[in-house]
Amino acid sequence: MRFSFSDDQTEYAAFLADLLGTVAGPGYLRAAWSAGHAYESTLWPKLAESGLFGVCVPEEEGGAGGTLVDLALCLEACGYHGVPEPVVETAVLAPHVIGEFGSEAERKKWLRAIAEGEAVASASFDPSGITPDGTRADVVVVKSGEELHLVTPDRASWQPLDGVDLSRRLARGTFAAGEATLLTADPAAAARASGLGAAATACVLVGVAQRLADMTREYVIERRQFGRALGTFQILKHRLANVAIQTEAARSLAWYACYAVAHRAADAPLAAARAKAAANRASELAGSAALQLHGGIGFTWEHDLHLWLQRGKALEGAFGSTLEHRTAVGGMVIEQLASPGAPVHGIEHAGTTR
Amino acid sequence: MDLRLSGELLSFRDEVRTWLRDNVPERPLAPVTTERGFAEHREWERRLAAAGLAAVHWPVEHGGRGLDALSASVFYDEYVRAGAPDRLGRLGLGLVGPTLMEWGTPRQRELLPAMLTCDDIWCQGFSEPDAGSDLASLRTRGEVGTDSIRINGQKVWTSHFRFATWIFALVRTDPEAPKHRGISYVLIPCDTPGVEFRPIRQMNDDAEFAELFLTDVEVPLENVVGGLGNGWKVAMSTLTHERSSNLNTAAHFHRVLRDAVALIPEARRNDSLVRYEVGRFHEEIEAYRFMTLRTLTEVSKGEKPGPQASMGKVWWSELQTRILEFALSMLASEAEVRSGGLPGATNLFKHYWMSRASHIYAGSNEIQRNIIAERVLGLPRSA
Repeated sequence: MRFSFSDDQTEYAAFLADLLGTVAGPGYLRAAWSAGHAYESTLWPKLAESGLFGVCVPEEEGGAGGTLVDLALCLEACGYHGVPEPVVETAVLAPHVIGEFGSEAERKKWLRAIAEGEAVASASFDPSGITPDGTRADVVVVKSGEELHLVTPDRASWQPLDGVDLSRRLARGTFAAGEATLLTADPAAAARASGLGAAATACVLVGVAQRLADMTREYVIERRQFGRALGTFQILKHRLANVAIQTEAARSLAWYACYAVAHRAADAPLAAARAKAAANRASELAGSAALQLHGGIGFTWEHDLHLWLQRGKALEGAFGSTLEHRTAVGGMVIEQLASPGAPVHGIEHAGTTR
Repeated sequence: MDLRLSGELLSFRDEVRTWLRDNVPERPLAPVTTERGFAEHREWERRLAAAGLAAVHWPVEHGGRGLDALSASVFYDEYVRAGAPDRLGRLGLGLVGPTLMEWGTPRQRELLPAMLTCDDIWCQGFSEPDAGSDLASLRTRGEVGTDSIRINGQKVWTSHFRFATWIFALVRTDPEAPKHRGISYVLIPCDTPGVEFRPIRQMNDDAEFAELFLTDVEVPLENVVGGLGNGWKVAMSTLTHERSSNLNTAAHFHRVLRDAVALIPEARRNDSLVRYEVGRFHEEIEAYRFMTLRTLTEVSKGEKPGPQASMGKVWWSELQTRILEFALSMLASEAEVRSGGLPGATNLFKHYWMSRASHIYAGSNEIQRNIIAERVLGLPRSA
């Protein structure tokens, strides 16, 4: 039993993080923000060259035949470095869904192109039709009710939108979905795809929370008031400790969610929901502490904080809000425990831990 | 990442599971604070010891199974799931034992076997009326003679005092040395003249801990562990063990949640606020499980534990209290009834207050957050 990543997985993620540290980050993100929908990604070819998009593509289609576990740390690095490209959609959702449910023709058409970075994929899972990079995507995985569809631009119409995070290049899509676009009508398949999206986005959000926490940590060490560093004030320390605790909790759940989803564990839907809810909370706590502890400067356009703050807010709603996931998990737990035959005991042992 | 148990670990788990199924008493044992309860718990400990299950994480030469942290956690998981009795010798098995293995002389290590059978029960003499979170300001004096130490002072919050045979205490043996340097770690037999416990009556009418008065208590110098003046260092290695009590497994908190869910009135089971709360508890218990599993993996691979390793105690202690607060709110007025109320509701407040104690003991959660801020995040020390 080993709840950690292999050397290969750790080294690949470190390589990607190094790369992103040079070519992504605040400068890149600001350019993406300024250009909005007109932005041409210069990062995409570099991500493709790194092999990121092929990790979950089957080997016979030119990929590495890996699983979400192989990508967990990479996705965190993407969050940490603020990568605005649709990595979750292209590297995780499209290969899994097309690989499993696509026709032979669809598999041939898309999987190799995705692995090589020639196709940009996105995903539209929300009933609102709101989709990141909708107008730029060559192919979109659409969840419609309990069906999954594969939609190409000729069957989609897009209304470009400005999101809180302009680098996400949102668009509202309406899709001519039908027999021709249907991948599967199996509700379990749609639920699995949602789980993939939630687990992968949880990893990204952990990276966002970590970035917000690190920026704030550096700020309170440097910034001096009353003749001492802000970081010496206990109330600020405790706030950052709480952020760190929630972030590690979320990270641990995100790792397991990747494992559970990859291995189709019985508790995979629960695991993905828990991970996303916890990652949402980490991003909320980190973002709110970051904004408070930076003081006025955190509200400015000039300071980089808002780039991650708004990314966090954008992703907190994607693939399920905290409310949605916790309520669903709670419902499942109550039903499981309250089913006839479940033993009823007095609360024992509680607190008898010393 | 591979969460399957190895064949070896699977057969160990099955052995443990079978043994527990055949041996765990069907009825709960009497409270450990009573004569009968103590005798029952000691009997249980002796059965565990005879089966070689008293301290699976101890090395084989000391009567354990020599299991690494990850394998030992398999045992504790089964133990908690089986609803087995609370452990009697926790301070010996978890704190003093490992400390003596690390720092003790061969003669001091002769004390280890009696910890396994609970022939000796150990209690802790660390906190003092004026040394709580600021433990290093402790004032209990130890005058060092040629071959003995004479100890005078007062300790407090001493759990397990009632049937204790030994105390492991911190005493100041060099009042001139800097605060952390003049302290020694001393083993004191409870039957030494001058040792006196006075039970402290708690708000829930229990008396689980005591004040400990030490008046001209003389123990041989060879009862000092790790050398004179080295007690702080020795104690810190002990406290690392204390913060990772083996019975605080996710399985334990799942049991607490299960019991709380059983108190939800049927009409409220579909209430989305209730569902939200239960979903959050479940998420947080699983987060604890996987934070712990990360640490266990790191420790078993001989790596330095990651940042999450110092966060478990804050997490579980506050989580458990929130679950109990939820249970109280489900019961509303029934929660107030001490005994003879609804099944499953008896003594809920007692459990609630006990869970609150865990925010304070083993390093208060404020101290824990200081540690996280300063040692994990590297924030500057407060002025």
